[in-house]
Amino acid sequence: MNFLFQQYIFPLLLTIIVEFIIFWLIIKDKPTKLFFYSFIINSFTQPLGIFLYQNALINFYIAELLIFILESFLISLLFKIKYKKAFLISFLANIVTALIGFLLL
Amino acid sequence: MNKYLIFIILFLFLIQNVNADILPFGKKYADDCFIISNMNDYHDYIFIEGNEFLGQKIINPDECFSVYKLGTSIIYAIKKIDFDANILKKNYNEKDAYKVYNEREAYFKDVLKSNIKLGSYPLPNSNDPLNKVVTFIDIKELNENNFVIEQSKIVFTYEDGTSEEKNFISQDVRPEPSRKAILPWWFAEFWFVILPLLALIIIISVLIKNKLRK
Repeated sequence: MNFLFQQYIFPLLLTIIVEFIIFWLIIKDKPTKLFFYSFIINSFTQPLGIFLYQNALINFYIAELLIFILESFLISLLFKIKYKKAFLISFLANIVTALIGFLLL
Repeated sequence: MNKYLIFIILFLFLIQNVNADILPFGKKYADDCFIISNMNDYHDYIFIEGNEFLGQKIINPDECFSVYKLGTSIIYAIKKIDFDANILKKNYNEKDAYKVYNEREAYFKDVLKSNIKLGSYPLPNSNDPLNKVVTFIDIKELNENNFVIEQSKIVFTYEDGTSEEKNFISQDVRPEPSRKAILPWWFAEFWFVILPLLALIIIISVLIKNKLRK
């Protein structure tokens, strides 16, 4: 159970919180809405990313790139913002979470 | 409307796990069979796999034969000459030889039973990388009185196509594959299927709701 928390649940919670902060800093909308969107986006993309990396024998960077592109579209659609801005937010969010991931995990 | 859709999708997702036959939840099938490695050295014998539920089946040379997952099987050896004679006597054809053995022990007096019983490999968890298990059997002794077989090695093939071979140290202990599922099956199912599916449903619902609000 400890392993599941360390390897899967904790990184997801951390990503949700970090991305929520980035959304909040850039989009400045209602915090509950931003948190909810961060929660659903990452609950969809994180397991997908891990699956691609672990089972589809995809390189870590390719998996990250695919997730970054997917998240950009989801951010753009959910927050109703232009793709360019969504790509920037997604890029920042993924860079920060990846760096935290490298440092902590 | 969306609420109903979510329930329908969840229901469909759950029932897909209830397979036909008796596959327990969280388990999967892996091909599982046995090969008698030195069967060709005994040209004058016919080998039959006998199962208490399914009856009997002739084993062809180099065939990887499966054992029914319920119950165990015994290998029978009978001299070709005796076997053919009985088939002719009872007017059985090759096809029906499968059924013949149910009543056979009365017919074939010279049948030899293997010293050990063979059981199928346990069903792996649904997220286990194991795809196929082949157990090799060696005939150690076969004469008028004795039919001794031994499980010599086992070959595990994984979903990525790689395989590994392990030798039997004891006949009572089946070697285990080195690669096992990292996650418990229920967590793998939740993490890789339920969670992203639910998230996707919610995302789609939010998008539809936002569109309708316009």
